[in-house]
Amino acid sequence: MRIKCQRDRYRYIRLTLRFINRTFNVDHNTNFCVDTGAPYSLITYEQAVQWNIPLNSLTATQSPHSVGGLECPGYILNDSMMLFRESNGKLHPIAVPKMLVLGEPFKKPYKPVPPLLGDDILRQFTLIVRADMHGGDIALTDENIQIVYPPIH
Amino acid sequence: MANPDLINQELEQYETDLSWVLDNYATLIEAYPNEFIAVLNKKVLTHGRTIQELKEALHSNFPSDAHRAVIEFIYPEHPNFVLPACA
Repeated sequence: MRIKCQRDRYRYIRLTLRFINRTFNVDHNTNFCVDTGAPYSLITYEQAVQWNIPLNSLTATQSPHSVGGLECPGYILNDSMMLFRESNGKLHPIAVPKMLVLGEPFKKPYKPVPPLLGDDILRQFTLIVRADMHGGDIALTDENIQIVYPPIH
Repeated sequence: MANPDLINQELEQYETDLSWVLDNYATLIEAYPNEFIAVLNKKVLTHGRTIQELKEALHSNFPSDAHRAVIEFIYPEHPNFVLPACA
């Protein structure tokens, strides 16, 4: 499997996917910001509103979460699925047993953060990032990538 | 799960629309700074200051497109997404 990503204007990496949660009838296309430094993935408050996820039906996390300068309550969404699409059209389902959902930020007004694809999901894959001078391709793969480092002199 | 062929087709369209948004971001900043936009088939369907505003407009005017449109917040400046703290 090799899933192509895109860079946005601000150099963040975007990955398109289908997010599915049967409990709350969520079946939406969306894109996540690939964040190799984030320990876990999250859905934003804006997505929860857009997808009609009733936050008061979810289990709240013990403490609030700080993301992108925002502080928000957190909730756990169980038993979701992500569908990744290869350029040849093959779909790859990824089980997401638990996903953090941000609640409405405490402080307003605020600028929203994007949904993040963090290490809890990324650790199943290898992220290939080619430098712009080499085409700039970015892909997520489950292939066994052998990296040969040149000797240091 | 819906028909895989349909999902595939919709995801392909989504990728095309997301590319369109990213390629035309400068123009979108001029027209919709600090707003949410909904894009389908390389066209801005609707926009709103809040996600609620956008959602209402999208569901009222384009109910069958809501699940496949690209929804983006247009940042006029570089957003600084600080990493989330550990759970």
